[in-house]
Amino acid sequence: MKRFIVIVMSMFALLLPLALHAATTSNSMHPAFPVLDKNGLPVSESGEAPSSVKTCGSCHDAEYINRHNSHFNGKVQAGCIECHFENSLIPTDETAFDEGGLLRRELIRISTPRNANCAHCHGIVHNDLSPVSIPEDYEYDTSRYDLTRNTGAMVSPQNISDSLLNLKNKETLAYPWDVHSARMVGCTACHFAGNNPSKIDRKLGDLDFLVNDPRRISTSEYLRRPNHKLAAAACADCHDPLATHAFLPYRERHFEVLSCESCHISSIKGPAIKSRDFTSVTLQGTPLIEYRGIESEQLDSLNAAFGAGYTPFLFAGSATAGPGKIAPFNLVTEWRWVSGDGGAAVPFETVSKAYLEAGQYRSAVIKAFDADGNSELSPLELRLDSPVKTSLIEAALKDLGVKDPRIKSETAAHEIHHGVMPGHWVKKDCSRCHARESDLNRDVPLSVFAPANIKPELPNGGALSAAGEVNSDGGGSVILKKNPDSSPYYVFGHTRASWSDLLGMLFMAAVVFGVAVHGGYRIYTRRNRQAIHGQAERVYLYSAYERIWHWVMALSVLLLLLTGLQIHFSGSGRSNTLFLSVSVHNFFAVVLVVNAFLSLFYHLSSNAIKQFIPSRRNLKGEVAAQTLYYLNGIFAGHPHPMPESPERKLNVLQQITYLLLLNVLLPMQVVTGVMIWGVSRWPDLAAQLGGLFIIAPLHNLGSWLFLSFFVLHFYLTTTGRTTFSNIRAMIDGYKDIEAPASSTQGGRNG
Amino acid sequence: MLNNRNGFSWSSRLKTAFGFIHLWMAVVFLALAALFYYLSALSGPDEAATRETDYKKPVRTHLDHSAYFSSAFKTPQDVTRACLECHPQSASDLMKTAHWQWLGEEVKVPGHEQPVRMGKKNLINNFCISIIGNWPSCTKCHAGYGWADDKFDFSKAENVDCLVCHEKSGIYVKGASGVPSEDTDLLAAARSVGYPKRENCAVCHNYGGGGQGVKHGDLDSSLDNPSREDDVHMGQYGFLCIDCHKTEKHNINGRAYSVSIEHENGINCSDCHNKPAHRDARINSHLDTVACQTCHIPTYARKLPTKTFWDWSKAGDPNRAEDPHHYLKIKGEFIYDHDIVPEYYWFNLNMNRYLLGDRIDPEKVTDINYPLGGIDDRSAKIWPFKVHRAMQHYDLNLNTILAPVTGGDGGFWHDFDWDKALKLGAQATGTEYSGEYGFAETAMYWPLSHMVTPKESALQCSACHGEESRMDWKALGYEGDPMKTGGRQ
Repeated sequence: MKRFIVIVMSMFALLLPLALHAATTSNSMHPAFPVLDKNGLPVSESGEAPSSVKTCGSCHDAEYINRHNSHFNGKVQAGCIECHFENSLIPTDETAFDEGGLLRRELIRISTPRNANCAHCHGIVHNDLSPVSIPEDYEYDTSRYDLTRNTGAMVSPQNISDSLLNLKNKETLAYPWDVHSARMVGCTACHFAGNNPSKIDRKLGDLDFLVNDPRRISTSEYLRRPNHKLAAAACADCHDPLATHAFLPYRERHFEVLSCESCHISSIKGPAIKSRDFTSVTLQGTPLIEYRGIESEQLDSLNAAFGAGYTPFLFAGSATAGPGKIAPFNLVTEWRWVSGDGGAAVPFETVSKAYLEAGQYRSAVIKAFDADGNSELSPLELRLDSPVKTSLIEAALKDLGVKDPRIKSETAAHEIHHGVMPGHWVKKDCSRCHARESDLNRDVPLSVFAPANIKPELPNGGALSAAGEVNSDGGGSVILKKNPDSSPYYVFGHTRASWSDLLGMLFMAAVVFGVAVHGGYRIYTRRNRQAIHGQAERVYLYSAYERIWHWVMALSVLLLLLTGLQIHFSGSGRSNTLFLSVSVHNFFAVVLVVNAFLSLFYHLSSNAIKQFIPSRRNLKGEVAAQTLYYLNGIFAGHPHPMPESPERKLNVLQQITYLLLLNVLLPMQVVTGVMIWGVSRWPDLAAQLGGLFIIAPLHNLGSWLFLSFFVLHFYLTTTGRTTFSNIRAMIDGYKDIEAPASSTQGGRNG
Repeated sequence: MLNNRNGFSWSSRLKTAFGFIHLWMAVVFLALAALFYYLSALSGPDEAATRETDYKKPVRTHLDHSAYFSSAFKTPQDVTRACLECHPQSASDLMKTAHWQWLGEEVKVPGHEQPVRMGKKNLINNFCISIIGNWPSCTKCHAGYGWADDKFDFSKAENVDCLVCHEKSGIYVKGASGVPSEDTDLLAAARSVGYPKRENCAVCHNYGGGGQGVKHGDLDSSLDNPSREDDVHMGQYGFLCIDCHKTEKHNINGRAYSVSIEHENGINCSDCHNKPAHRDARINSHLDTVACQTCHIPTYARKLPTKTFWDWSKAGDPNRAEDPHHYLKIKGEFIYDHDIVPEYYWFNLNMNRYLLGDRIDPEKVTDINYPLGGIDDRSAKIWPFKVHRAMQHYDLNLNTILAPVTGGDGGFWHDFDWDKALKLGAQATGTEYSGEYGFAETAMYWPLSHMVTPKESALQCSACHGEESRMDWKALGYEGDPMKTGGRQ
């Protein structure tokens, strides 16, 4: 297998255009060496393919390397030559060697792997000056281009607008395919050998007295035994997000929850695969492939196909950043024929044989599949959309020796790390996530068609498990419907805990209803009460400070309610208000708390607090009397049972209400609000209280209660001598108070 | 509400509830104002760096001259006389400048003892080589009438050609010795005068060297109605030549290094772009070493091709097929190219210059002009150049470049005899010719400043620091890529 790969690579490398500049100068430090085949004989004598192990293994511990090599496993067995030689090729013809049989000095073009070496298998990596285009063998050569196929990311320093792809609004895309590539950060800058002494800052264990362990292996030890289990550097190994992102509110919280890529790879323009149907075979010997973001059905060439790219799908469960973090993914769904016992995949060559014979479709296949009778099978006709077609192929596979063939489908999630946009091109759009329609809960289209109606299965574990359900959407398409409850994070403006909204709205509705009925009836009966009012005395009731703190409270609560509503429903309506709403909300939250504390201090130290405390003497009687007044007496024009005086400004119902409001509801609202603000500062405390999933809905419920109080309070201020006399009193401090109840018996002049 | 208060005082007003409310409203208002100020200071995701320029779109005054001229003009000089009636100083102003004299002020040329006045009048190049002896065909582009030989009187104001720069009728074409043909409608031309548009400058400067786009590489007729990508100043912002080449009293700013060797009266990007604030600080660190043009003019002659090689030695073959882009019997063989990547050299805005009579080494390439500066010269930056190479005549024995007569009487373009042409040329220029000639390779360096691309098309890091770099680091004096081996600190 390795030899096959080496041969294929060498042949392919030979086909590369000769105009490729010799980018590497010959390595003058590397000692000269003979090129040996797998038997240890020089290739110039034996004519066999060069063997990395034998050629390089005499100095570099090739067996150690292959034991510690991410590129040496069941799927692929890359040798030294593919990655370390220019063009992944080592010259083997006679002229390449000098008299001693050693490779000529100027042909020793060995280096740390360049982007072109990685591009040989992974891809699409495009480093030369020609405009970026999708190579012709992109769809056919399944041993290459897996990076772009799985994610759509393309690694090139060129601007997308200079490429040959047919992208929507291409001329506006004046930014590089991958910003790291544009800034000369090569593949090996992040994917380096695990024990490279120049790339490691190690802190061993929990030694708090050590920031960095300076002990390293020497260069020669490293060259002898480089650990090819390649590292994958994290963003934070080079970037400090706190040094930028000043515009981002709650940025520590964002960085806790999101991987960097979630925002910095917010758009992919390359051809990412959406689904691959291996149950069908095209004339070219490929499966049916669907790409994301491509808008034309029949594709002559991927470069000509009109596409808009796609926005990666956000799932919680990054394999690299941590299981809790949200990261961008592409979902690739595949349908395959599997064989009954064990569900092993039927090799695609076998499936091809079921369709094709000598490069043409078998006549039985054409008969069953050709819907429009033109003896040609278009991709639409190749779909297994009827039992006839499916059983035909099943039978053919059985004839070819496949036991119990059936169709199985799986969706795999590929995390995206490449194709990073420059920072200033990332749209700073809060409503991408903080909105009712949030990117975090976007349904993922999996495929336009499901052969034989087989729905894909989601893998166990990983980002997709419990993320949602696979559904067909009527037109034959298959989509992944995200389960909103699967998200581990509470997202303001998006997550709804319906119980708090429900309870709150119920309460509010009740209050509004009551106010409407009560007020309506008062208006209806107003004629009964005309000219009942007796003599009144103008009393100075509310001191300047009392009025001030009242109105500050009122204004703050009003603005908090308004901005809170904007946050709750952010994303709908005008955009970019989230930042403003949150800032105003926080500001007035502080104002309110400071005001409340000052007021509490004032009331405590001046003994005005006793206004708020109901007297225990005859509590029940007073409650009854006041309640009866509101239910009956007020309509009849009776005087207040407990008229106001500077000694007693609040009736008993007011006192009870305010006690609850100011000592239960307000503290709860403040505490939940502070916890929301500081959820990343005090994560343990927040978790103990139930996390944002409890704290935020409680805050929401409290706000509904405050809003209800607002309505009720505003209404009740109209129950004074005249409709607005109470409000006026809270403005200028003076109230016309009627003489006490005893002197008003008798009605008219009372 | 205000019981029993007569009169008015602020303190009493303040002490009342009414006053308190006003006070409190004022406090609240101020708090809100402070809030919004704080918010606006916060909510600044950084906007794109604003272009800091001194450029104010000029108000172009335009006086319609059609009413001023009613009778036909017999000679072009009549037109000039008419212009001078209202603009008496213009001719004398122009006559002080290089557009009239085809000479600059005295300069000291490196390697030469005496300072000289030099210009198109007396310099050679490696295109059509020299105007001496060839005046009638070369002075088609002189801003004057009748310069047919070395007896031209440079002091006659009426021979100044006002129309070539100022007329906008489009019908005015200059012929031999700069005189328009007899049946040119001079009246229409005179009526149409105004400020010079791009076409006025283009009619000569685009066709230098005998054809469209031959010489400059960054000046050709693709700039007549350019798109934004052709030149961002002219295409997107509608700049005319005179917006950068500011002119006062007919002294036109700008320096052509084909005929000058220093930057007196020259133009700089920083004349308008007073502080190029690139968003990325790493780019700003290039500003002392790399000229603006280097990154912002990634290629030249993008649409129309320019001549890059001129082999005079092949001229005179009557059997070869002729084609203005490949071979002409009178001129020889050429190579044209388009969308060319410039060559990059250190340049401190001064040049070396070959003067007639200087010795050359025919084995090597002779630089007709050459940018001065080097990696150790702090005033030098890396500039983009078009380099035009040619095979032109030199004296086999004296090792000097020879200037033949081509278009003039007895010249090669009539008699196809190099020896005769070179003899006549030597006489005309007052230089020696031993009778034996050969062809030596020469080069001319044309710094580029036009065809500036929009900023998103500017060079990216990988253009110079990538594997396929357009910079020859060793030739520039660096150890290697300065990103890896260090800059010239």
